[in-house]
Amino acid sequence: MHAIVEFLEKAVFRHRLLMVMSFIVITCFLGFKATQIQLDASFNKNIPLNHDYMKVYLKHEKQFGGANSILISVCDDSGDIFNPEFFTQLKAVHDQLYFIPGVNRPLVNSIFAPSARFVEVVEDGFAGGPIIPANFTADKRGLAVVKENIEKAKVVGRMIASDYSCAMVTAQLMETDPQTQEKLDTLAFAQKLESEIREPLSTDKVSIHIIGFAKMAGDIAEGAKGVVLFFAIAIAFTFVMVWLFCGSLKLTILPITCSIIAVVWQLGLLSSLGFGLDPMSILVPFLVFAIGVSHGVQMINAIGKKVAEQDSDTRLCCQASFRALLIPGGIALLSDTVGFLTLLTIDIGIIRELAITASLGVAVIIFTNLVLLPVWASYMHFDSTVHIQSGNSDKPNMLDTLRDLLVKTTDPKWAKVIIASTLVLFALGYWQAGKMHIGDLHAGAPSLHQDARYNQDTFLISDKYTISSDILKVIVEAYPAACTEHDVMERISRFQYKVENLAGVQSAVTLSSVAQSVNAGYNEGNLKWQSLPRNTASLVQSTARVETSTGLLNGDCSVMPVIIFLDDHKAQTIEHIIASVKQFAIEEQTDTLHFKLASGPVGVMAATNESVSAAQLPMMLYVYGAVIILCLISFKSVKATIAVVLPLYIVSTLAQALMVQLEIGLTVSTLPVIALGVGIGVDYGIYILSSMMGQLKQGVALPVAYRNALIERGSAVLFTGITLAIGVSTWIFSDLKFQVDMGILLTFMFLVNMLGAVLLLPAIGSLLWTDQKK
Amino acid sequence: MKYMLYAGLAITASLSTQSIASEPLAAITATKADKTLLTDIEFTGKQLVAVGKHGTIITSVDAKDWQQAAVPSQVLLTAVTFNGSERGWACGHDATIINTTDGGANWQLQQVNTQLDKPCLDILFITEQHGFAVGAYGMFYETTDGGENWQKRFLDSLLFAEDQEYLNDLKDSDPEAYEAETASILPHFNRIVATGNKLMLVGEMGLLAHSTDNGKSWQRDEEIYMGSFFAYASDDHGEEVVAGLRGNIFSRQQEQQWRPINNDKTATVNSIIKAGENHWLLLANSGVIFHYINNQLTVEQLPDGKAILDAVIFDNQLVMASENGIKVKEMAE
Repeated sequence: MHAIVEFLEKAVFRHRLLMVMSFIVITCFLGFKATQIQLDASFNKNIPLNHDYMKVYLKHEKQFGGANSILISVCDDSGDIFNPEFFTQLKAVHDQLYFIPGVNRPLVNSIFAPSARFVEVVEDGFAGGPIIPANFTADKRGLAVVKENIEKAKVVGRMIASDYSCAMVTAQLMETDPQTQEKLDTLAFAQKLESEIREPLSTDKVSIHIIGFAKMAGDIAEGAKGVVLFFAIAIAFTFVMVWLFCGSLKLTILPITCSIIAVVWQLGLLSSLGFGLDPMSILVPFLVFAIGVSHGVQMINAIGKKVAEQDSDTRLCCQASFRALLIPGGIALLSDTVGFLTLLTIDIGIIRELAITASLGVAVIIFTNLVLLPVWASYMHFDSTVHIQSGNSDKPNMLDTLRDLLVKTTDPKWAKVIIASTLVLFALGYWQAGKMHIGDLHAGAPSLHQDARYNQDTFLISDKYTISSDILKVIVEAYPAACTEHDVMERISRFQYKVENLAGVQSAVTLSSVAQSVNAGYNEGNLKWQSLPRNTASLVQSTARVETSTGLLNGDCSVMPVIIFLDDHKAQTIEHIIASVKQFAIEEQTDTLHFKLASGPVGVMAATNESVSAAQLPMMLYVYGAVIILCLISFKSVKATIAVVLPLYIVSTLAQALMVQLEIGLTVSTLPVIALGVGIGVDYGIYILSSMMGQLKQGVALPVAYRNALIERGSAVLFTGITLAIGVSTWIFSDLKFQVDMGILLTFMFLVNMLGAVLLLPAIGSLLWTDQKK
Repeated sequence: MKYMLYAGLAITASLSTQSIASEPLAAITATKADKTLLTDIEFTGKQLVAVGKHGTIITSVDAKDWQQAAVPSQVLLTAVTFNGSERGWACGHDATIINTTDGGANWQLQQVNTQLDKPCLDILFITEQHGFAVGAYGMFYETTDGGENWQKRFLDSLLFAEDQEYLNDLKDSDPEAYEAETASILPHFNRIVATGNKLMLVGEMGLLAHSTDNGKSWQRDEEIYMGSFFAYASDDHGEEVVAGLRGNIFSRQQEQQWRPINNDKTATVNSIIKAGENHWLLLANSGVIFHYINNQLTVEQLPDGKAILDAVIFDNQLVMASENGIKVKEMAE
């Protein structure tokens, strides 16, 4: 190990100019690339495409639509839609939406759609027609006819608000354009919804409310732009703090600039690799900056101390610091990198992207802050005003008092108190963390504030319409002409009835239930006939009227979805309904008739929740596995590994408990936070312990070794923890709820991991290295 | 025209029937049993009993809490009747007939015929032993032993004269065709009611018929309407009301001429009950309740627009069996 470090040290410092020049060239190149990076969101990235449910989803997506839908509720402020202006605007919304690229045109639905028809029973059979007659004029008489047709068509609560104050236009989005084979640009689509629908078509009287994944992603991306400001605040704050810490502008510029270079490299690399930045990963560059600062401050701390102590050649000081910190810093960063890379095992696009984004970012810190920084520093000339505490100052100051206090943690008495209280905290945290829910805990978009336009629109729509947008589809797969057989239809009917009786299910609709209604229709609308005819001829007659555009059957009725409307999409609701539905599927299936889960927005959520839940344990094992192995290699000590990993584990458990308290569910966007937390925390412990280990191996007593470690690196650890915590705490003021949550979580992690490293680590150490107490 | 369509269909039906003969499945215990389609509701003197879809039978003593009964069938039940508070019968699709002897908690299968593919639409017992079950295409079953045995009858007296002749010819020349025709030539019998001195049978194509000898012989009344009748009721004062498709309502006093009641609300009437002196309630599709009070018709529209199939007045409340289950409404006094 030492040989490698020595070799690297020589290689790096012998070719200093070359090193600096190549860094400049690379930074220019990647900086240029970084300017081309784009925000990029896609629906399929958020779903586990290889999950069983999603195979069913993808198989039938084209025929029955996916889960990527857009709902536009057009509302009249007077509370009554039956006026000419409203109908003009509604038709305009329908037509505009139809023509926006990316929309699956045959599935655009509203009362203006050709498939929107009504049927009524009259003495000599059926009468029916389009809801909006061909000769429709928006006058008093025309509107009265439409109103009557709407009632007959039974679309109130679905296409028309229950109180007749709004009307709905819905569409499905296609991930790739069937003609141009171009990928759907979700964010551009979201902008079109604003610029081509909401802005031009809203009037004083008519308001437009839009929800759906694309709109949500667009709104998050919009909010994410504000993130840049918060980054700037955090960077500026960190700059000032580092300056106060080291007292030297030159030294301050080093870690800040090198960390920013790391971010530039990361973004440039991402862009070169053809990736965009997902709105949900927008915080990762800041994390890279934060981790970079943490390592950079250790480096300038070491350099500053050496300069103050020896007052010798700056280059030698830098070289010595490089030598001292390459191993602990490298190990910490490598374990972060490997830890993030393990996220690749989770089969959800957005998490894999995050794995690449984060591991790239952390890996480049090794170059920028462990190599470039000392090399660059070696060109500088530091005057004696650098006042980094050398630890030997004569007058006792606050830091010394604090240090004395911290060293007490190695006193067995205090150690026991600390460990006992940690255990209590851990037990509480573990109990709380056990209550962690998978999936969204709130209605609407949890990444946005409750009072955000998007969530307000969600609430309005769920309030005005009885049929929710939380739809689960179970796809019945049979054989051609299966719908002409009574047994098949009866099994579907029974399956539907069982599902309808589940708590959390509003209603359900199938070809079977519609056929039963049609059968009643054929019998003069007498509901005593709302049943499945046994003979094939009558059964065919009942199903023949149902068009494929209803989404209830395919062309040869070999595939018939069961469409289930749920009360909400909370994790518990989905979990219990899916479990029951699986049971019903087994009860009603035959060799040729299968009830396949699942499609619809809730089907996707169920698959995602299951994947996230299944990924949680392996991810933790991999992340900790990586940290443990790297610690074992570098420290060659089980005790040291325990002393580093145990506080880390306790803090991440507490962080999960905090997530429960904040009512943040474990989702695609929050799952990686747990892994990131480990990455943030591992630095502190490794820096402190690596300084102690050399001494402990020489038989130095633990309190002494710890005191020396604090003198050498403690102030940098304390400083970084507090500075970064304060920096991210400003996120509480963000427009994005997601950023607010992350701000709270990261503040917690920065602070508590730091406390874990300076309080718990030595306390655990006093139990592990019992023979070295004195 | 429609009649020919049905006849034609029924013939194809009988040729292509392919039902599976097996023991029917028992009704599923459902948490929302009182929210499913209910077709008929009765007060037995002890409790309310309602029947409906998926073999659902629910009972309640207070119209608030409903218990689901054990029913050996999953068919859509269409009618229920009680003789006393303990003995009851219900019928439904596949000519299913079930009975209870414990007031409605447990039900046994008396008859089922999946081959027939016809629903029973109403059931009536005039004594503990003597009952009738009527339904689609002139379905008519009679029992004189409380339902132990049900006899099928073909009420040819209700045929039009020309049909009667046609059938008589066929009977001798082509017995097979005769069988097929009798399976579908009669109209649907939608409701059978016992009044003070006669039995009334109303149904499809304006069918109005009565029997004055406890169902032995049936006479067709003069045609007053060509559409279907679904509901009939009478009171002690000799007033009768009959109603059906698209809000067509007629009434008469003391067997005089039927008089159409002026009505422009086209909701099909499913059931008629007496709510008070000279006050009839006609329960209809689309959430419509017609109030026929002192020869005046007023329309009440329930907000959700769901069909109301039947109702009883219980504890000064209107307890309704509707398209989406039990509904309770205070009676305005």
